[in-house]
Amino acid sequence: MSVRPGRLALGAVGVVVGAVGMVALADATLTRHEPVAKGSKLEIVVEAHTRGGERNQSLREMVEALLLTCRLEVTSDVGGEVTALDDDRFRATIEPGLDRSNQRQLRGCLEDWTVDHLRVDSVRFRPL
Amino acid sequence: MKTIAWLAGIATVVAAAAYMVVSLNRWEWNRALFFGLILLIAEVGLCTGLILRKLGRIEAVDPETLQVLRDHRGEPADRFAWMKESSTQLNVFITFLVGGGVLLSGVAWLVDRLASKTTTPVGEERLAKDLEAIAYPRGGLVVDDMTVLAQDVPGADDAQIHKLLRRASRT
Repeated sequence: MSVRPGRLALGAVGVVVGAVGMVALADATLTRHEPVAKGSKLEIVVEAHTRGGERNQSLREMVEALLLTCRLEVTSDVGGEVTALDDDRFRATIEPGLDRSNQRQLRGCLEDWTVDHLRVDSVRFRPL
Repeated sequence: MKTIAWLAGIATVVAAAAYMVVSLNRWEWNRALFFGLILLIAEVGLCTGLILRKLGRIEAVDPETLQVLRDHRGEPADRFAWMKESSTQLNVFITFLVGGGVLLSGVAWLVDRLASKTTTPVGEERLAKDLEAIAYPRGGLVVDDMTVLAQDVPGADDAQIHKLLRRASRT
């Protein structure tokens, strides 16, 4: 059985691209924690939208529930109240602040399909 | 129409794979799971389509060619034709049968002779040993005259003398 060189080269390229992609994905999803200052804080501003949710649940309550759920994935807590900046923008603070890995994790959880009927986009992640 | 369906399937696979990788990179596990599921479904659909297409091509063989091949199919080889030959002719099978029988009989005779020479004497020795346990005492069970007379001797009430006499009666 003879294998054409073109096909062989294409296969080799495919294997290399696949391997590099897997390594890159593994590197991107790897948790690397760094020390965080004790009194530090992180300000989070999100933009939230809901469709088909329960009528007696306000958007602020849904965002608050989402924050409380997602903070379980990191080592910090939500400090104070979740405040509404306008109709669909909300602000919260996380104490102590988060390292980059935890920030990505928290942002992923907030923007993921974590709570039904709620879609959230992160607007700001800023250390205070 | 078929082309559109194939393109849609391929596009779904590519898009689902891309979104899955992006979601994983963003730590959005629920989205990654969803797109992974879509990818899996699209893959199964495409693979099923490929298999069905392959099967369709197999069925689409030119019937004339197939008929020509069937018409010119060779006669199946009769591998037991030698059994139909006349029994008056000696052939290899009979030779092997008879020769094998003779050889087997010889081996069986040898085994029988060897077994009779080795197992019978050993068995007899073992039986003799086992019978010793239930054998009568030497001299029989009847007490001899000497013992009977000895018991009438004065002073023969002694326990040691009785014991001695009983022992003597056994020998």
